[in-house]
Amino acid sequence: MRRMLLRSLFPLVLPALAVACAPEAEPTDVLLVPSRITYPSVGGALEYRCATLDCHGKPERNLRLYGSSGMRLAAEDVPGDGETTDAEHDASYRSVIGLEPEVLSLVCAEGGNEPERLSLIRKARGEEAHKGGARIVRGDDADRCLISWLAAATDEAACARAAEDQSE
Amino acid sequence: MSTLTQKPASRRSVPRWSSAVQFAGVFLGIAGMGCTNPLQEGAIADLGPESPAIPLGPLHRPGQPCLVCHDGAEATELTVAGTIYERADATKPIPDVLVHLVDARGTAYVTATNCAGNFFVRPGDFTPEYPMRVAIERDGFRQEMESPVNVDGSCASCHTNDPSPRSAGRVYLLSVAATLEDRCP
Ligand code: HEC
Ligand code: HEC
Repeated sequence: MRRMLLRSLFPLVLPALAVACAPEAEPTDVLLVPSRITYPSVGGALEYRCATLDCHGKPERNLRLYGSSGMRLAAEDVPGDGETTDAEHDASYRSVIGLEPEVLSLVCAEGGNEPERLSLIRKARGEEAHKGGARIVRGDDADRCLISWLAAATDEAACARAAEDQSE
Repeated sequence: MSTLTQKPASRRSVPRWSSAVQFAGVFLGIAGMGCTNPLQEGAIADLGPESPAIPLGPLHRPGQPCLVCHDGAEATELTVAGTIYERADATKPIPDVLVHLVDARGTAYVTATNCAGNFFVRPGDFTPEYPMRVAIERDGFRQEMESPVNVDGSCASCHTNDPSPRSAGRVYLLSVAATLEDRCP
């Protein structure tokens, strides 16, 4: 099932990869990525935890996240005003999948197995040096949201709760 | 919450000579401390000179990111500091605004703005553990910041005078038509 879902995403991903970098030789493999379609739910869970202007809402970060309460993409948009735009989700998504593409592909290919192979997960959990400390806790809603997304089975309910509980 | 642990795997494979490299790195780091930090120096220069009319102290440099200088080396250490204005589109600062801060441990601290609209927190009084929640209040008017502050105690790092894709604009109290009593000379 999961495999099928991933495969069905291939055609969406390939053109993007082809435009971004031209391989020297014929590619023998395709890099797998988690869903762009459900990314906005994941982005919502990360917004207040990670994407504030003093953290990953800074343009100089490797992981660069955009959002309505943090860094905006359009020149006329201001933090704290309106909703996160689709273009912003797109930019954040690209940043997330671009961090460690090969490892990400492995994790995806194995149905989200051992997600802590990704520094994204280790840093978010505070298991690896991270200026922002532990922003998610293994097994909490934000963690489940992120992990389930990597397993191509995004737990929308967990994502929604994680987006909610940051604004208390 | 913010304890940092290294991945053990990356330790095991470290060759011997690397400790020498690390030692050199530490040494260089120390040597470097004697010099000034060019990034900070540049950031400070960008803020411009002191206004001749205002003495160096609590009323100076309203609207600026105070902690760029107030790091305990360049100037007296402050943990949180900023300036609060009457309205988003006005340059009038307001005094006696209560600034409510609640950190990750749930510790609350309240301070107030002076006649420059400035407020500041000394480390002995409150050193927040991030993320920190912020709200401001005076005469029954209240504004809350929805998102938390995650690492930076300078309000003006995100609240510069002009709103932009990377700035929420000034911190302001009034979003409705109202007038506040003038309490400053
Ligand atoms: C990490 C960047 C950041 C820092 C640092 C920051 N703010 Fe904010 N602030 C924002 C953003 C973005 C908004 C608009 C969205 C929201 O409310 O979360 C905002 C909104 C506000 C608001 C509601 C709008 C208004 O101006 O009345 C207040 C009040 C506020 N901030 C006060 C403060 C104070 C006081 C400080 C310093 C202790 C501070 N902020 C530091 C990013 C920041
Ligand atoms: C460009 C650097 C710079 C900036 C920006 C700056 N200050 Fe200062 N400030 C100084 C220096 C230098 C002194 C004098 C030395 C000292 O007391 O540390 C000083 C002194 C002070 C003092 C007196 C210190 C004491 O212990 O009594 C206060 C209070 C103060 N500043 C508050 C602020 C606030 C609030 C802001 C932001 C609105 C701010 N400063 C921004 C450089 C700066």
